[in-house]
Amino acid sequence: MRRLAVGFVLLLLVAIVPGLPARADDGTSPASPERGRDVDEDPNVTQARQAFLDGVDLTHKSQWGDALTAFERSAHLLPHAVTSFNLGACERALGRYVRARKWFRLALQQSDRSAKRELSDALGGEANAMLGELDRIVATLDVTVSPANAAIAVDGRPLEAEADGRSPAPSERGRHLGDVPSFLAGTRAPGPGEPIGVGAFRVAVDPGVHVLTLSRPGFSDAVINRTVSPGAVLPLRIELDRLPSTLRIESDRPDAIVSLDGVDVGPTPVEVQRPAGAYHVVVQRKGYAEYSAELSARPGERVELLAKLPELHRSLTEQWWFWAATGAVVVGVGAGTYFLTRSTPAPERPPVDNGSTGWTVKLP
Amino acid sequence: MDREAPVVPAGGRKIWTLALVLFACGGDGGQLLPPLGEVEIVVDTDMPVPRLVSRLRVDAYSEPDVRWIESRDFLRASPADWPASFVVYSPDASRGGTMRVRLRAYLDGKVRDYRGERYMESPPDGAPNAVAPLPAATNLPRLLDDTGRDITPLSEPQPLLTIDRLVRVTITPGLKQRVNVVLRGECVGVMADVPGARTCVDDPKQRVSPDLPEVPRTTDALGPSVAGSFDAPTRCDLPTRAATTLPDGTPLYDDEVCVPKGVFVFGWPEFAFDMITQLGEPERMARVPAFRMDRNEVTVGRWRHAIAEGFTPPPESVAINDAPLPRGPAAVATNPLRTSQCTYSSIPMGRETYPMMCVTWAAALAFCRFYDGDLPLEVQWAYAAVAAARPLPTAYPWGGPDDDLPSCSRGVFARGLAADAQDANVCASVGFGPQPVEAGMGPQGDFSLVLGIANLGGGVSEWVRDDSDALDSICWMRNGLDLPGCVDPRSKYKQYRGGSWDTPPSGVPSGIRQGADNVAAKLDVGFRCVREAP
Repeated sequence: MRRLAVGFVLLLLVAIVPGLPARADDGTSPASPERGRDVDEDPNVTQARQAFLDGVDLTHKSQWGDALTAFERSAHLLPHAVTSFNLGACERALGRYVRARKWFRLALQQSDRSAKRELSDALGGEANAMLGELDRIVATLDVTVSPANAAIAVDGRPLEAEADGRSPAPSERGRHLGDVPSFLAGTRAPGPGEPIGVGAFRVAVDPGVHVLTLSRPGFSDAVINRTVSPGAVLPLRIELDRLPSTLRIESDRPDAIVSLDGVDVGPTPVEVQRPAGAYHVVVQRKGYAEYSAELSARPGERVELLAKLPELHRSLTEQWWFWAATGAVVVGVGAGTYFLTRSTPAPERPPVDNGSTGWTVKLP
Repeated sequence: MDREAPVVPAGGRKIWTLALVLFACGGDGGQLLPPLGEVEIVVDTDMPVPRLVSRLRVDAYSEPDVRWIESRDFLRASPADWPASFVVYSPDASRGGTMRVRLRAYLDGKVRDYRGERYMESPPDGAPNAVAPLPAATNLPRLLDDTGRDITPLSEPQPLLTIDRLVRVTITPGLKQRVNVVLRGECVGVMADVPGARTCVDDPKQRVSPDLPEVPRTTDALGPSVAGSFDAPTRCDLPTRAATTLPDGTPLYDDEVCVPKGVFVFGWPEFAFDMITQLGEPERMARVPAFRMDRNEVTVGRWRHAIAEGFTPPPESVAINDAPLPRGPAAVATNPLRTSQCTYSSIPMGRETYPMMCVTWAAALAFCRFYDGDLPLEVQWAYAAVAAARPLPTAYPWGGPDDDLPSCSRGVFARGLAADAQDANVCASVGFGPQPVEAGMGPQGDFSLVLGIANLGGGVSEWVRDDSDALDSICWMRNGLDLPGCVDPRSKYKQYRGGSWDTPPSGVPSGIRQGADNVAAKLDVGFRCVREAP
């Protein structure tokens, strides 16, 4: 099937080749081979003609990739409807139908806009026939993204807005998709996705496997792998998940207890995910000064906090004479009190152990 | 120095001694009330830490109404952090009670969104390739603090990668007790039934009562940990085949590597995205027994040698290319099937050390079985590529850095046509199209860590034995921990793994799963064989 298609295009291009010289002969085109070597001729025109002829030569050898490069060079120097037609034919032979359709449309537009129609009636008819065929091959992704305005890339390339803003393929198959903007996939250079400003849109893609990447600040990226068959219309409903923020709290003393807004979240180091917002953080450890701070975290942001817990000041109690004197007083008072009250000792209950994690759970 | 205890002079010692004597003479001292009832729960795991377990999640529920009352998540990323213990107690000295505690050991970061308790006992019935539906999300139960504020954790451990154990302890007034719990690797992927009070203890096929006997707590010491005993490193001692050479000197590259047994995390959610749930395919834990794997992809010469030894390939199993390989993209653009790049020829054409490609899955399977082997299971292939014989998994067979794309000198990839995929030709200047297997064997070449298996990253992609199904398909979910696979001889779609000469650098990471119609001999897909222990 594909062999037949390639052969058809080759024949078509052979028919095209005499087209330019024929028009050049009547003096209406700057690409006249007779004048191509005149010193007065614009060198761009000379180079464009040579690139065009190189492209035609390469198509005779079925070297479509190299021919495409030659025609692109020619079109860059001197845009022409026939060159655009040939670019469409090359892209079609390489299986890149979205690109091919774009070139055929451009060829028709260029011909319509030119003072003297650049495409013959036969060639214009062929372009329209090609477009009809490609409309049946190109698939459509009918995308709805929530929230809107996510940056989107298909197969690692940003999308290109369709020139006329509509994709004819779905409506021709009787499916009404509403008045939403249309984009082309695979026509731009590789690069990151770009925001397209709307939440509902259509994307024309070649049949096959495609990877859609959607990203939006504050939301999780979505990566969607989808295989589409020729001419299919594939609805995609994509909801991006709002990213929580990640709070990581460490302390310079191990196993200090962390609370967020009064809720104990565990010993340091601790990492928790919470909705974006402001939090009051308190880090405590017995024998050390309490640390508190206000934290603010945006969606998807990771905030790290190191709490420094200085040891409580012991200036007086670190003196030996203080302990000697206090000890003497305490012993005296304690002994006296003990002997005075020994008949009614205060009962005590041993404390609850808390395990190696320092955590206890209380029966409700 | 400032933390040292203050020095007490000799006179001070006398005072303290006097005080002690006075207290000692005091007779019975202060009275002690019986302790509050408490149970220390000591949790250990036999999984390797931190390779497969690095966190402990604890959730406590009241009895008998199973109300969620506490949740805490501990980072336990060092073997020295295990066992870990915490205490449940009754604040009322006259009252005991029962508490249900869920213990989950899992790997840091391997979590999913909490959307309510989604208990799944066993895979549902249905077509093997159908996605196993998750139980409906209810967002219940919720965890509330004393003031009624919702403090429900946003995430929970991914069940297929978690050892999920339920225990029920009884707190007796006046007693300090202890229970010892080991979260065993055998139970990984088996969810605890919290409302139904059933749990896996050591047999994944059975969920049993969570009741545990309490013993008196006589010491603070927790004892040694058994962490790592579930997957202790072992030597691989299966006899392997040595490399052979044809009489004309052509190497057959048919030697084998012994791959030691091990447990690893299989799957890569970033590269398998489910359209319906918007979630990645779930990863799972897989235990792989020791096996032998071909060090190299099967070459043209080895295939031809097999035919000479009596191997009869199935009909139309390999595309024959009796022309020289094209040297540039222009020469292949005209051939829709691009068989001009296939390596096998009806007579030797100097490509005997090129990998076989353009070969069907069925033919590859037949070849391996001719030599008493088999195609690798997908988990065997992935284990050899990213986990075997290394302390932590890696994205590429040769290790890391994981975040960087591989350089063109590393192996044979990105040498195809620009039209095939983005960047599929960025390394074509090094050599266009398929290359001999030796091309991936440079000093910094495409060798797996430690074991030295060649060209798992590039060369040709490789058929594996499994069907092409999502990891959350019923076919996969029916598998347990041991050598999971999804093999159905009737299935039309088969899986292949690894990058190829036609793959862009971004397609080289070994976690990427790819599937194809097994009828088609794919241009850049070859194979290698394995032999499992008898």
